[in-house]
Amino acid sequence: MIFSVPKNEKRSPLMVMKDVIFALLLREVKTRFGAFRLGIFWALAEPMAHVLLFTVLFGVRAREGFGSVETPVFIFTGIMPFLLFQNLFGKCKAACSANRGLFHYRYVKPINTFIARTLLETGIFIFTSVCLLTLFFWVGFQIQVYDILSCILVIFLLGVMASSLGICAAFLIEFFPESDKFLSIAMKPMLFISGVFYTLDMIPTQYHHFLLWNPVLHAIELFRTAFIESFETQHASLFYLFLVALGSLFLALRLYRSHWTRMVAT
Amino acid sequence: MIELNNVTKYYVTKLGKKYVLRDVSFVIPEGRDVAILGKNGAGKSTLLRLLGGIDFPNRGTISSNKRISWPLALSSGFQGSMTGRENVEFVCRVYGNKAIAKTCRFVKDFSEIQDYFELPIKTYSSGMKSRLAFALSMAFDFELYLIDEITSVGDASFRKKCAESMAEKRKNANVIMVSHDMGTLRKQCDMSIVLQNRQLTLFDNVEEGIRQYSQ
Repeated sequence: MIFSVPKNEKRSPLMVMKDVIFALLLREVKTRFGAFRLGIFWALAEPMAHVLLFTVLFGVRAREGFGSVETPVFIFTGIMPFLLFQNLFGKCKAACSANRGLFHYRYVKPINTFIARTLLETGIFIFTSVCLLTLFFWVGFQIQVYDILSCILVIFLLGVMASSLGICAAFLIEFFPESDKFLSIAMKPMLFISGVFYTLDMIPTQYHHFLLWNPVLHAIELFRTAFIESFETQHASLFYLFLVALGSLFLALRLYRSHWTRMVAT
Repeated sequence: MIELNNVTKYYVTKLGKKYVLRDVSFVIPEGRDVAILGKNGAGKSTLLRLLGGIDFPNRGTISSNKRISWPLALSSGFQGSMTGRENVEFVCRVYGNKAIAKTCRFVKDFSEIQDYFELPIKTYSSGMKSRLAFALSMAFDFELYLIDEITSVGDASFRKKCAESMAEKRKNANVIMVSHDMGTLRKQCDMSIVLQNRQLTLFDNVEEGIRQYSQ
C-alpha cells in the first residue's frame, strides 16, 4: 500500500525558482479564472467596459474622433497602459498577504509571488490588447501600429515601475498597516490625472507642470505617440519615465533585500 | 545536521521587543530525533519554524544540509477555491516532484476522501482536510520531518495507518517534535531542547529534558 515517490535530484537554486514561479503562476490562473463560468472573458470585460463608456460619453458630445483615429482606438491607447499599471500595482501590493500560507513551503519566497503576479498581469495585458485590436479591426476601425518597438519599450518601463511601486507599497503596508487605506484613496484620482481620455495638449498650459509629475501620464502619452502615427507629444519624456522606473526598482529591491523575512514571518 | 549561530529572534509588540531566543548557538547532530519542550508561549513553534527554514531570525544564521519537510499535516497552505488535486499538484511542482499523477493517486488513496479529491477544499470537513494534509506529507520523502503538536487525525483505522506510514518514513528520516504529550516524546525522540527564559538548553536524552521542564 505504501510506496514512496522517488527522491528528486538536487535542483539548482535557479531551477527551484523557476519551478516555484511556474507553480504559483498556474495557481494564480486557476484561482483567477477557474472559479468562474466565463473565466477569461472577465479579463476582457474591464477594458471593453471602459472603452464603451468613454466612447458613449464622447459620442454624446458629438466628438467623431481624435485626429486620425476613431474614439475607441484613442481610448484603447489610454486605458490599456493604465489598467496594466493599476493591476500590476494592486496585485504586487497584495502578493504576500494573499499567499502567506504558502510560505510554509520553504521554497516559496516572497519574490516569487511578485514575479508570478507580474508575469500573469503582463500576459493578461498582451492577451486583452490583441483581442481588442482584433475586435476593432473586425468592426472596421483603422488599426495601424506606428512604432511597435517604442510601444514595447514604454510598456516595459511602465511595467517595471508599476511592479516596483507595488512591492514598495507591500513593504509600506507591512510596516504601517494603516497606510493601505491611504494608498487606496491616493490611487482613486489616477484614472483622471493620467491622460486616459485626453491628451496633455487639451489641458490649459498653466496646469501642465502639476500633471507632468505623474509618470503614468508620461507613459500613456508616449504609448499613444508610438501607437498612432499622427500624434506628437512635446511634454512627455521617456527619460523621466526611465528614471522613475529605475528609481522605484532600486527602492523595491533595496527594501526587499533588507526586510524580506518580515513578509514571511507570521 | 542543523547549525545555529548567534541566533536572536524577537517579535515587536506594543510593549516592546519580546525575545524568543537571544544569542543562541548550538548544533543538532546528524541522525537525532529532537523533542522541543517549553511552556505555552515560550516559542516552541517559532523554534520549530526557524529550524525548518520557514521563519527567519532577526540576527544570526541557521544552516542545514537536510531536506526538511513543512510542518506535518499542515493545512494552512491549501487554497480553498482549488480542488484537492490542484493543491497537491501545486506542492509537487514547488518541491520539484515530477511524478505528479502518481503522487495524486497515492494521496487520493491514502486520504480516503474519494471523489472529494476533485472538489474545492472549502467543501471539505475539517477531518477531510487534515487527512488530505497528512496524506500529502506522506507522499514526499524528507530527511527531517517537523511535527508541531499533531492532533489525532481521523478514526482509529486511519490513525493506525498514519502511525504505520510514519514508522516507515522514520527508517530513513528523523523528526523534530513539539508536543505536550510526554509519552509520545519519550517514544519518538532521543534528545531534547528545553526553552526557558529565552535561553535554550540541550539534553542528550529526553528524560533529563522532561525533568528540567517540569521543575
